[in-house]
Amino acid sequence: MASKILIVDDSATVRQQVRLALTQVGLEVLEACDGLEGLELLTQGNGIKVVVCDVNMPRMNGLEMLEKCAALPSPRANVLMLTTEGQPAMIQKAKSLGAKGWIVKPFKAELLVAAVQKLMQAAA
Amino acid sequence: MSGEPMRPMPFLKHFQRMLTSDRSDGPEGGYSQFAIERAKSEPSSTQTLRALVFGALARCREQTLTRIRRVNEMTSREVLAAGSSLSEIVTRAQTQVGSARQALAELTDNDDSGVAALVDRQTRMTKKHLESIRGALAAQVQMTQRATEAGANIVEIGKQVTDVAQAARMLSLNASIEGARLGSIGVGITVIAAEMRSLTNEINQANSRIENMATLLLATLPQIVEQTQVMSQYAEEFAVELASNASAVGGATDRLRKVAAETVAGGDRHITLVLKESQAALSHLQFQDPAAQSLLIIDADLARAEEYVRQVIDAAEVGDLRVDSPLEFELTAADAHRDLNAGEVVALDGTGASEAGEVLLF
Repeated sequence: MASKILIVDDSATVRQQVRLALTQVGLEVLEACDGLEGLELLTQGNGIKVVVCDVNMPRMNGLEMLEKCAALPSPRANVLMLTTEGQPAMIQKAKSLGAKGWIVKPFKAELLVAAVQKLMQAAA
Repeated sequence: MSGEPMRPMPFLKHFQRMLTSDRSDGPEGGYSQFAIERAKSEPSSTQTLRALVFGALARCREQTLTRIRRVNEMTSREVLAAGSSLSEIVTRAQTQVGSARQALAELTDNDDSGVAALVDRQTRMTKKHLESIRGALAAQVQMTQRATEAGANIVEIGKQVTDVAQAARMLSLNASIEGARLGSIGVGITVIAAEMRSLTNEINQANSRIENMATLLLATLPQIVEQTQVMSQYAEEFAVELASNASAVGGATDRLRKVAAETVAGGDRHITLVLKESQAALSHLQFQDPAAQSLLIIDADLARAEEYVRQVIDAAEVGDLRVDSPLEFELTAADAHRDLNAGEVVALDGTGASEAGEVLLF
């Protein structure tokens, strides 16, 4: 099964922009519109190596999803938070819950791609 | 609460003006009609005031949220369309560069399938066959020369045969004379002499035909030699021309390979630029999400204002109107999110220490 990136964001435009940035460099992506849907996809496996996840989402936010992800069996996907939030406390919380990176929106596509590729290599 | 008329306060005057202004973009019949309808169902003055104020605020929020959602849907739709167009442009550019790369590879590949390789192989084979033809023509000239010598020998031998036949004829003549002189005893000699004369005649005729054919052959062989030499000359000229053309073809294929390599490299550079510009455009398109979230904060602000008004009216009703703090509009993203709780997401700009676009890898 090919390695995939999971984009979890309730904004269709952000999902599209992240998807375009990643697929243009040959990466395969899956999409979820909130943490609950993202967690379902992660639970199913799907060859997901990296998750690009928003924080503020309906039903289940990104930090809640991150917390749930910790209970999933290894190897777990590397999670990169992508959000408008930037409070140090929130970043520290995400880090303590296992997130591997934090990007503040609006993101630069080339930096996002570089970060995702680095986390893909780390997950390989 | 008492039914006594309440003393109007500045903020209430503002709402009263708004309620009686009949704004065209308000509810059907205007805010005043809306307030009157609400007032009919709320008979006491305080309740009427509450109905007027909060009814108007509710309608304001409703209208505002409807407009915000409409704007967000429109911008989202347009940004998604722009993103799709961008994706199509990049895909087409990548496809075009890929096709050009494949076409150029077919022309210039060094393996057997490349056109340049085919031209090289064809040139080598032509030179090889030409060498074989030149060798065969040289061998033919030598063989023709040997045939000419053989023809000359045949003519010489024919002359010798003619001499021998002439001697045999003389011998048969002498034998015939001797047979006649001997009379009946020499009849046999006379017969043999006649047969010998007949044979010598036939030998002379045959030899004459051989001489004629040899003469004809000797006359033809120089022409064959001449034609062969002409063909050899043509082969030599073709070899010289082929060498010149092969050099030109070699140069052309080398240039073709160079141009192909430059074209492929140029295509790669262009596609890199297209990707870079596309990613820059994607970054620009991200305005929609924070803009949409910022617009939704307006509704949260209105909710906060509504709550503030409620607190002020509550205080006024008990005669303790002391508003120490101004209305605050600073919300966290999480607060705004909880306030909406309807699938809409709100985040505030610039609330944190990290800057937009910053990447932190732990």
